[in-house]
Amino acid sequence: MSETRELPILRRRKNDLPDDIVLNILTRLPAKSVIRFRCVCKTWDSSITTPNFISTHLNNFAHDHDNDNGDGYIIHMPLETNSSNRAVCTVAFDRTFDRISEIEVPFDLPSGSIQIVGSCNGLLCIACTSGLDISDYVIYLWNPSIRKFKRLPDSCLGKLGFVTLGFAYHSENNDYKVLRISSYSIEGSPIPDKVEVYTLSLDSWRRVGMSLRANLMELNYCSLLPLPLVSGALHWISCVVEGEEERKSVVIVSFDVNSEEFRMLRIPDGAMSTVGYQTRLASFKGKLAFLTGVDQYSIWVMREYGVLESWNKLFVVPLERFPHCIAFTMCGSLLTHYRETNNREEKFVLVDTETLHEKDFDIQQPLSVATFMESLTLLDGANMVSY
Amino acid sequence: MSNTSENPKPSSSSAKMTLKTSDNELFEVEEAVAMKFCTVKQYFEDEKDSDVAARGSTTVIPLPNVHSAVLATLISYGKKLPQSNAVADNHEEEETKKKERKKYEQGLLKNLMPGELLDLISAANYLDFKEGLEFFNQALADHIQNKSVEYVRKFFGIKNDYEPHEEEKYREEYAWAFEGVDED
Repeated sequence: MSETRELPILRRRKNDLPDDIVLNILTRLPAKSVIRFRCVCKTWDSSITTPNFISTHLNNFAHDHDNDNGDGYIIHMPLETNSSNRAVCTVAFDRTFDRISEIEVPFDLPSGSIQIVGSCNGLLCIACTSGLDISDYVIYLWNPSIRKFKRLPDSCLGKLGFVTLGFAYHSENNDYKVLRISSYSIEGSPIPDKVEVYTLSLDSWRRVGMSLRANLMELNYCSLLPLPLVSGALHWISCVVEGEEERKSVVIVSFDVNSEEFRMLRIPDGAMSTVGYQTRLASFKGKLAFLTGVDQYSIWVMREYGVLESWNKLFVVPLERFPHCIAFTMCGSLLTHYRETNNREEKFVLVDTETLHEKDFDIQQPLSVATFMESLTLLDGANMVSY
Repeated sequence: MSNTSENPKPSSSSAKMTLKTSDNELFEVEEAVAMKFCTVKQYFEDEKDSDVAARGSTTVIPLPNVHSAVLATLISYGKKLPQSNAVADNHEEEETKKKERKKYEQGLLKNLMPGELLDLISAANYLDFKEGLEFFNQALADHIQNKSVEYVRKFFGIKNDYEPHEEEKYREEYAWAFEGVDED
């Protein structure tokens, strides 16, 4: 555009653009510009803060992957916090983890650990625990693009030993839910006991029945990946105890966000023997992915949701050391963490599952990682804190 | 100034149509390009139904809301789009064409005054030219992205209906959104 230093032209009345065109243009702007232009006039402000505008804007930015790079974004933050510094999140490209920007976390975090529970439509769900009490979580919903957050009310069920958290977008209602499963320990194995769901539109927690509970046992390892949301359900790995011999088999449990029902899915045939501390679930291009392995990581993808025969071993990543998978992104980048056996040094390696190209990642500490996109989600939300 | 179209690919039809602008200029356009203007397409199909003239040869389609300079740009942009009746290209040819189109688009935008964008959008909307509307809407969005609130008001001819104290309060609360904005 040739930018001379003249004043912008005052529009002639007859050439005024129709409102729907003006709004179309506004939905293409990054969040910062949209927030600023709410100040242009009251009509623009009321149009911008409608669910329709927010979702059109989201669609424009969610499909940014169709740009030349085809890159989406991830956001990551260190797991450990100390209360002397404000924690900082990093936004990066999902394929390379190349840094784009840093964002300061706006709420106070006690010393302890923080985890990204989930990320939907640019809205993050963050859980923080203080010190040793791993059951005492403070949960926040946070949209960094519009600088608003909200602290969730505390659960009414009190504290139990082991907690699984999940965050989901409820598309039927354009709403958001947080799932919390509390478990208690029997001889070191956590048994799921109480299930609660927080619904954003009701701003409250309520108990939910779990009909599968009787036979389940949580696997006693800690996956820091967000529970994948696939086909409208959250998924995690669990263990079913069956029969008189109390045979244990690993299964995938799902929670349907709309119906709030629990179901079980079988893991891929042939993967059973490799299940252990390093086994993970993730979302890969909208499909459920099962990551497991001992000398190598096998990544299975369920091509057709719910169809067990459609488990397909898509990638095999040979690894020299016994790794922990920290993240598996939508484009197939695998971030692993392992400890060198000779010098006990911690290494973080980014592996491209398609090319098997490895990149040493210059991070010194374990991370919590989730997908990220720019959005106006919750611009029209009640009881949000601006900062 | 009338505009003659380039020689079309041998395999496609070379039917042409004539468009007449608000300033009485005539533009001869390939049918394939003109059909991207859905308003024109609709007019043409209506004419066919009413059996007035032979296909495309003598019909002049009037566009009283579009000035010749604007139409010239829209036609030029329309020609650069992948033609629906073109022979399918292999991946390499497609990539080259894509790069060419990008270069053309950048050149086009560089020479446009911001005010012209409004005319182009208005005309593309009137002509129901979806690809053109998409392109120029995005170009305008890119142009205003980092502009101030005052610039945007003047540009769109919008009256500020906020009370001074309301606006002041908003600017304070969302100070971060007002940082790093282009000077007017």
